[in-house]
Amino acid sequence: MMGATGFDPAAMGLAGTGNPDVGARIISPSVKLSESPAVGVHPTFTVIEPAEARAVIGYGDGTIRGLGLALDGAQPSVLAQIAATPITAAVDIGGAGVLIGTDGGELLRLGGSVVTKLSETGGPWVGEIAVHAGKGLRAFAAAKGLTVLDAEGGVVFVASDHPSTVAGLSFSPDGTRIAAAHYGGVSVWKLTEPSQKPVRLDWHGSHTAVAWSPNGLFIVSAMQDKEMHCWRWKDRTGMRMSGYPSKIRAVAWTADGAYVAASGADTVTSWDCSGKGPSGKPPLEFGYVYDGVVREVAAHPADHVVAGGYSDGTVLIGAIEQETAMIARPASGHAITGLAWATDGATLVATDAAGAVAVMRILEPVVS
Amino acid sequence: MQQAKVPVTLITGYLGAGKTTLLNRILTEQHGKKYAVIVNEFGEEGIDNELVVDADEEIFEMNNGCICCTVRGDLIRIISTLMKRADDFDGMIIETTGLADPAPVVQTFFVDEDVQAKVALDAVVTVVDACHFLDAVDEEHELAEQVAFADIILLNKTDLVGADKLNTVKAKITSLNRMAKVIETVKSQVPIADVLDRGAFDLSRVLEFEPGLLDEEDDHEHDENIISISLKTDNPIEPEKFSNWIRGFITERGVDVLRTKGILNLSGQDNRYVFQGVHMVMDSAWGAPWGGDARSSRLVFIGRNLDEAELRTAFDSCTVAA
Repeated sequence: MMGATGFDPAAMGLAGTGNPDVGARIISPSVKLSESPAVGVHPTFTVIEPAEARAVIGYGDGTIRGLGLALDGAQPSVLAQIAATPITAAVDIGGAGVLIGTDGGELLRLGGSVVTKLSETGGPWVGEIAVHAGKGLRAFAAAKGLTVLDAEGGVVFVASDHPSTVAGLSFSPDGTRIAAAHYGGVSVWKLTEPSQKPVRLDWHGSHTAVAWSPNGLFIVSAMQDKEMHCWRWKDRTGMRMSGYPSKIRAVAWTADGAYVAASGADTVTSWDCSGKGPSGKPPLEFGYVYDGVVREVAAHPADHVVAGGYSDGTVLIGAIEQETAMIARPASGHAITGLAWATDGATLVATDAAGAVAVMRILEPVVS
Repeated sequence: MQQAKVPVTLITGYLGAGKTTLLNRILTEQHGKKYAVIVNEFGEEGIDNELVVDADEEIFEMNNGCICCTVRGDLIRIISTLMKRADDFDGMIIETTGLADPAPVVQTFFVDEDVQAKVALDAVVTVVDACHFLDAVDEEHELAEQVAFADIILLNKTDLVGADKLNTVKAKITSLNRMAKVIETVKSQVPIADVLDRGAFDLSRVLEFEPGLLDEEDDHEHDENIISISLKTDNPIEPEKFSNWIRGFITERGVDVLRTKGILNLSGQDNRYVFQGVHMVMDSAWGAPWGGDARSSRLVFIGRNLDEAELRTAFDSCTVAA
């Protein structure tokens, strides 16, 4: 993975004054890193808002902070302060604005540095949010219910009686359906037929996240039981993906739906979902970190490349098929809590449990 | 360096036993300390605290091959989120509903890694209404389970019953749970130090069982009701024999065994070996050195369908002499 420039930190002018990259460190010859110091507060979400070219991070003290992607050594600035704790977020329709769910039962929207309230539940936490940009739909879950709103805020669909609290939401790629994870499996609702019963994808146990593959062929869930479950949508065939030493907090599909990557092991594991699916094929792995477990994964917006964030604060960027990785951020001793790629596929943002924000830029393609 | 975990106190008890009175007493007497309170229903009696979270009692079975292993999904979510807040909590207090089975709550603290990383269950405190206990305990199995799971039992409203009835209540409590500390109270008035910071699940603090509760005179028949059984031997224990037996027993009978606790005198070892379990979830560690103390091994089982004679024979066969 040696880059064309070689690995010579001194030569990169780390302390140079005229250098536009002041404050950026070269960690791997192919990645440049700019890091803001830990603020001592736990981040609760990390997203990149394309329209503003910034990372937006929610913290446990109710602050929402923003940081540009220029790697210029700037510090995150407080965009807004909210009364409740932000617990989840998603980039709004069109890549502009950020939707935020809180433990005060609100669905908020951050536009610029202005927070507006889109909906409130009167109690239950807004714990999950999903957006379908193409159809202009926003969905949120609170307690056992899910609500889908259109771009004007009108209620398009409501399902209020899932078997347990909805712990994950994912739109189908065409935006006609929404999948909700809960105890006992996943419910798939057709948005145009609210009176219809959902398709129930059953598997015993508590499902804590769900992600529909971008090609529409598979639905994968993460479980409390240190395993994943994958259903082929066409015939509802279920497949079990187990053997993880730790709880799976994050799953991520590559843009073409060929691979689904997961946290939960001491390497980034990626299951080959091409052809008939992952059944009978062991996952591909990269990035063994001594004494660390993968906590977060984020798939590159175009390539078969995944970023993994570890329990020791390490961030790796790896090529799935080559099973190779490079270090993008060294261990900080604090677990990675969020990872997000910019749409350019060159910039990656990570946050750790101490509140540090790392912005990383890939200087050359990971897969040639 | 490992950060100190936030202690969690679980308060259970039947309807009207005095749980909320105890909770409010803790909150008002612990001036300047900050608690997160998690309740299952907002009762009629208000709770005097800044942060009260309403939980919804979602009991999830785990797929780990243990049919009795259940966790509370709502607590996992709530505790994970609370621990991300900027607040520095001195502790958390969970008050269950009167009808709650304590097992899923207790197991959440030993099964979920996110919860385990940040908080530690300090003790299960069960408030018992001395007036109504005997009438209710045989009808409502949750009540027996709440007593069986307890580390500390507040025998409340003792001013409302006569001495004879109080003794009958105490005897029944002991038959259900002979490892808990029983404190007699009126209006849940108890020194706060007796219910907080007990470290009841902290193996490094297990030194001795509460004296006086471990009499071995009772002769229990095979009983489908909850009973507690205490076993003792002065012969040193053969580690391999014991390990094979206890693992097999818990695997086979974990559904019936609510709690176990043991302090063992293993042959050739200078330190006590301590362990505890909740259903099939077991935890063990080396304890304090024996030094000049008299060496003996003690085991307490609390559960259903337990046969004391069978357990005693099995335990005795784990000794070096056997």
